[in-house]
Amino acid sequence: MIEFSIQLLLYIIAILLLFCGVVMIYLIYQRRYEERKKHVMEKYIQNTKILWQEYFLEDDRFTVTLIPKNKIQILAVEHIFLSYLRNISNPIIQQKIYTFAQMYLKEYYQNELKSRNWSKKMNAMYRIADFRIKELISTCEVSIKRKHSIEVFQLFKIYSILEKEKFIQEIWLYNDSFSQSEYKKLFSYLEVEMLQRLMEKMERLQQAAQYALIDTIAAKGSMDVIEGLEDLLASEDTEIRIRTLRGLERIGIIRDLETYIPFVNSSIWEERLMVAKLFRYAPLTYTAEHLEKLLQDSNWWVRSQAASTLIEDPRGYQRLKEFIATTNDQYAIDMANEVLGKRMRAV
Amino acid sequence: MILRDYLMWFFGGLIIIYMLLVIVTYGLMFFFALLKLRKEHRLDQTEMDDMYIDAFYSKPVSVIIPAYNEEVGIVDSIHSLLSLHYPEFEIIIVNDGSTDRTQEIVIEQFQMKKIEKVIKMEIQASPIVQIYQSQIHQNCFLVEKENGGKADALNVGINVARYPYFCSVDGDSILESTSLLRLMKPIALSDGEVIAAGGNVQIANGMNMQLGSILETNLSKNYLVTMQIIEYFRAFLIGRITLSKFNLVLIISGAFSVFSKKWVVEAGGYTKSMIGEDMELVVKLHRYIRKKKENKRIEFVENPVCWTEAPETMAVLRRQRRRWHQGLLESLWNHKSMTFNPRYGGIGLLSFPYFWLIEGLGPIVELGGYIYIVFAFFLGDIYYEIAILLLLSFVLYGVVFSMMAVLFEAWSKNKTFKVADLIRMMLLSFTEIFWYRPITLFWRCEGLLNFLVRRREWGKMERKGISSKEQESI
Repeated sequence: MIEFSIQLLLYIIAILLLFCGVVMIYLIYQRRYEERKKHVMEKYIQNTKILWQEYFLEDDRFTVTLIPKNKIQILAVEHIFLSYLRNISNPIIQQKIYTFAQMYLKEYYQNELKSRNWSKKMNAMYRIADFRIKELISTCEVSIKRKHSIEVFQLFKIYSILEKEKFIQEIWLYNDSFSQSEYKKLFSYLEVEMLQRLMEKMERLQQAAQYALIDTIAAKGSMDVIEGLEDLLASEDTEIRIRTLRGLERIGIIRDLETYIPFVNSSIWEERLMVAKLFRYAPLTYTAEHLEKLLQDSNWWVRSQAASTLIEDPRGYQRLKEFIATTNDQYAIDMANEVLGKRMRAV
Repeated sequence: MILRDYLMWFFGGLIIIYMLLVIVTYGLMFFFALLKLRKEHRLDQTEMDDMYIDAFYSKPVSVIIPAYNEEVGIVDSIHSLLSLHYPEFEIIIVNDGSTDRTQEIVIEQFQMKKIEKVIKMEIQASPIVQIYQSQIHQNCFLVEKENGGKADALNVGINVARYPYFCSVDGDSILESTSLLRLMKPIALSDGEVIAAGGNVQIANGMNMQLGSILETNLSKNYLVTMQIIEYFRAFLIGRITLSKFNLVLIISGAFSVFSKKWVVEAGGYTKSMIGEDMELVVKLHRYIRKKKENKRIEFVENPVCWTEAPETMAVLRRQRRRWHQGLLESLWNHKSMTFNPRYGGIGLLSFPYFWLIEGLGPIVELGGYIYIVFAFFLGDIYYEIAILLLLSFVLYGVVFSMMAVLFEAWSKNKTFKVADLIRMMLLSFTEIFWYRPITLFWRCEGLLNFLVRRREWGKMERKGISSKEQESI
């Protein structure tokens, strides 16, 4: 029995060591290949740098030399395009990149989408979005398994960039949920009008999408959305009300102060915090009384925000001094003193 | 059969069964880790980095560096943090009553000025003496406090932190520019389901660094350091990836991890009296998650790297390993009621038994195995064969898994590894079971003994890295 076990272990070790040896040789070969590839790519970029600059910056400077002839050249072109797209915001250059990719890279990405390798497929989908290759959307739809959320997210990203109407239709039907960050990313590619369309039927969206939609629509900073957002303040969902207050604070315009006064007495501290922040956009004459109340709030963050809002107003310094002299609330006094100290240092 | 034969058969059988269990466990972990990394092997990681570089999509983070006598490494560490690609973060250096020039150097280098700040004491911690703010980097703060240990310094840092997430970084660690962004990815993508994440810690000895940036990656010439590098690969790449996949992580390195402030505050923060404060916090969080019956996760993320200096002498390494093992056992003992407790799900039924049997008590069995081999060779006969069997299982466990971990790491870093370094590490892996493994097992057994007799070797935060080495040489 023991002899058999020894033999078995010896075989296992020998096989594994052999496997390690083979993998090591393979890795060394791969490393050499990667080095060669990198060298060829660098050489190609160096040789075509001027031609690409001329193509991007001047009219009618296209030359067939620019058309990539093999995979390494395609990767080099990808590298050049991504550098331009990520560092320069020029619609003419962007359009030239999109046109070129449509003409000469489409076939390559189409093949990559058919690959069994998940990473290759994903990288192709990333580039389709980057280079706006609309014609490959249907191939993307076929190639994804619709199980992996990263793949589905990338497809939705492509829709939101290239097929906005389809995006709206598909997002209503999508039963699973992305994270709020992902929804924000998807919504950020849409124009305000489209976001407003989504907001009109917000209840049909997943909860994370609703929150992300409020954040995104507020971040666009359009005056047109204020009314729609104010309507959401009546929502029964606490998180929606908090997000909306935060969004309105981000836009920075108070149409009617009365809309916000009830939140001063809210039982939810986050709402009191947001309203203390929002009051920065209203004259102190109307908000001082409420801010002083919030300065004595049971929550530390609310007190801190109320003090900060007060001191931002030119008359806030005096109001805070008077407040310290009249109140018995030690927490409020400490907070007021901190912001006064900050103001003194800033001066 | 005489008593000696009974004992030899019993211990021989016990050690072989144990080794079999270890090999199967590591084999499975390796397999799952391989599956995960294979899938994402050639994925363009920069695409994700670009996606979350905007503050609109990410969460702000307070980076806390507890520092005690870190005058040598602290400036580089802060520089590496200042060059992080992250949209919104603050740096809080907590000077834990250093007796060297740590505070003066930081004040001087970053033009720190005293400020008044009301701090909400959400976790009980030592009082703050003074807070400073950098005049050149407005998001950089220095907190001066009396010496109270690393856990206490971190608790003070959490109280000072403004943001909903905090990242703990050791005073002598260097982060890559994308590290924080990548570590925060599972948190940003999970809408609060992931409440803590730990990054991949790797050894920086031999690297060429300047102002917190890595200029060149070189393998250290010191064999002791190279062995530790191999050990880190094994621990991080094989062990933690799989544990993380099933939400079974009990250890995320204190050198580089992110936590939700809210959850840590509710769980009571870092425990002052514990040696392994990082593991203790993770276990406390798991316990608290179950208590609240929430669906939360703690993850290990393999691609954000934190570089740290490893001990270069036997004496420092011995102290470190003794301390780590004692810390591990203290945490396991502190929460022993979780072991095999179905109320804690996978953590109670899989993680705790794994950490008790394989990580905690493993050194005794393994060291017993080495002693057994020596005895068996003298006794000859059938024991000779048992000894060979044991030796082969050590080879399989020590040599083969180490080699696989090295290859695994080289494969995942296809574009950056050096062929000469790979060959050197592979050859060194062969020698592990003959010197490095028995020595570290012995030190871990010392840690176990210290745990049993409740021995405390230090009363304050112990320093690692370059500065430790300097101290050793003094």
